[in-house]
Amino acid sequence: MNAQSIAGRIEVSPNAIASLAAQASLECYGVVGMASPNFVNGLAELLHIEQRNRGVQVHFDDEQITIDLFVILQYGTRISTVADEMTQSVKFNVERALGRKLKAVNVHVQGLRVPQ
Amino acid sequence: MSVNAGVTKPLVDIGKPWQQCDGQQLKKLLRSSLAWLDANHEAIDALNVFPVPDGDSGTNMLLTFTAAWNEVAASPSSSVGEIMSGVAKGALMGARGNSGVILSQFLRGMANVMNNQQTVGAAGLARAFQEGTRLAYQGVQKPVEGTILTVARGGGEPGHPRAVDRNRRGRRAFGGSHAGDFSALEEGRGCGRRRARLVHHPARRVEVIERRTTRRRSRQDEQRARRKPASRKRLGL
Repeated sequence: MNAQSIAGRIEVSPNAIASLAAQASLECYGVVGMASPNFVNGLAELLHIEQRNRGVQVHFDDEQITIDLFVILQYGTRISTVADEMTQSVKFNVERALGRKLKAVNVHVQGLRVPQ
Repeated sequence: MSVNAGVTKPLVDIGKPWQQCDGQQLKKLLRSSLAWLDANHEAIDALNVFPVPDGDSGTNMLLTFTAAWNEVAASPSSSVGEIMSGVAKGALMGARGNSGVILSQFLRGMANVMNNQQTVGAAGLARAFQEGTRLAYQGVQKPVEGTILTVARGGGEPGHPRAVDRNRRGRRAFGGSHAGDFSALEEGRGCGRRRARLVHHPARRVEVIERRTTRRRSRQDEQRARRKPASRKRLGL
């Protein structure tokens, strides 16, 4: 993402935006972790905390930002509510940090974790 | 931080202190909680700054809890296990917002402990609160303190194993002065009369914080206050 200020240019990489989004997602209740967008052997892979950005895809088109989140949720929570909360939380936190509106935040539930 | 939790008087009179409670009595407690939440949800709304400061926590919990109540409102069951699992199901289906989902998980944890039980006493309720807290903490990768999770943990604290053991040995269930930390079990009439009164429900948890700050302190309380609050580790979280 680029922005022109009076003194110079500001560039924010997709990776930085992904970090913001991942952080906001993981703080949401019901989110157990980020998941890989691709299924490994047909299974959703829970990403380690260092590689959590891989569970976030940031797309730009015409300077408009769309974020796709790939997550694993806790079994026993209401998925629609948790996903809705995530969308709102990510939108709020990323927009506040970037100072720019997001076009859309999509949530992909890749799996559920059943508690012990 | 002190929190103005609004009306703290029980809104449904339950009469004499109970040592045990069955399904229908549990329903009375739930209805009382719902009435309290209804009267105070705006105070909780005003606290809401996370994850999005949209000030709807109290309303969300009220909606969630109303759904939970509606599930069991007409149930004639005398088993706390059946009532509580109905509550957990209702809360799951009606969960609204972040705090509502947390509340539904907490209630699910309580239901797991009361499963197949006819009645519940102080020790059972303590275990239920702990299990509720444990399950609630499991549902998130990065628990953020200062949310309803912290309140749940604080509320369950006097129910840690030591308190339960004391009860088993026939001494006070939740030592009188612990009432300052725990709204669910209010001390019976007269401190030290070895009576725990089952009064309320986690929805009243916020009240505790206020009571702790306004209560007159005895020397024993002063000593307790100097101790550190239970860590998450100690509670096995």
